[in-house]
Amino acid sequence: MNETTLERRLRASGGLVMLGLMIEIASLTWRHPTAFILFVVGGGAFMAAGMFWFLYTIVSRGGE
Amino acid sequence: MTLLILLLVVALLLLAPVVLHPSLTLRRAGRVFAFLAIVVVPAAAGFAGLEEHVERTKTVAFCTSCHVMQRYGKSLHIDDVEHLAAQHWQYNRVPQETACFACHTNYTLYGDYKAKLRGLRHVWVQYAGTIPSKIELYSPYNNRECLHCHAGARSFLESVTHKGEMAAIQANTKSCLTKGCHGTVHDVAQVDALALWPKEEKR
Repeated sequence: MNETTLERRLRASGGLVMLGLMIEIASLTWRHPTAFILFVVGGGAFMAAGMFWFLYTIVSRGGE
Repeated sequence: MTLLILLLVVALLLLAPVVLHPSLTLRRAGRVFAFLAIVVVPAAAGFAGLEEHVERTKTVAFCTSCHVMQRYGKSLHIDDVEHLAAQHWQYNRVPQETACFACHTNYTLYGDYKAKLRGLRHVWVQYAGTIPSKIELYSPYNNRECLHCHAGARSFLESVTHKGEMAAIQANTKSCLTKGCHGTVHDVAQVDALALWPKEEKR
């Protein structure tokens, strides 16, 4: 994997986690059952995807 | 809450260098920083946020934020001690802020989690299903939930009626909510016609 690809993947994973955090902050300003769902399904999913993508990126890079 | 928002904002700010300059991960220190910024800090902030949300789900304000539950919330204000939910709420027999949860969770090992899962199902029904015209419990109310607080209480033990039925109450073969005992819980059908406490409350 060249460094450009690595950088692109890191940027993407960081962006996903950022998006997840922003959704979580937004959900905390609202007291409603839908806010809870938004937090778990929206924020949680983006954060998990970002973290997984980051870990996959560094693990797969280590294998090369 | 303020600390939580601060933690989430810090997590966001820590991500900025990774997103703007991913080349910093070429160095070992940069990789450690990226791991902290992408995995460790957001995960900690996420769990803190989840904890805050879960605590909120226990509040009466949360339950009654859905239209279908508003009359049940209003029934807590009925000015009549024969109404079980109102009596418990008005006399602080359950924490007023978390009254719904206090009575409607299951006092078992995973009762709180089961209550949350049922709540998720309710949200699903709210948006994607059909809300039943009459809201009913999934299963008959278990005396265990009442006895969680009342068992051992002098007022409960010394009641002549309770003494005579103690074995059946403890075995859950006779419900506490039997008509003639504590049969009126949430009288949502009549709530609009009944006097409320406090009287100045407009609900």
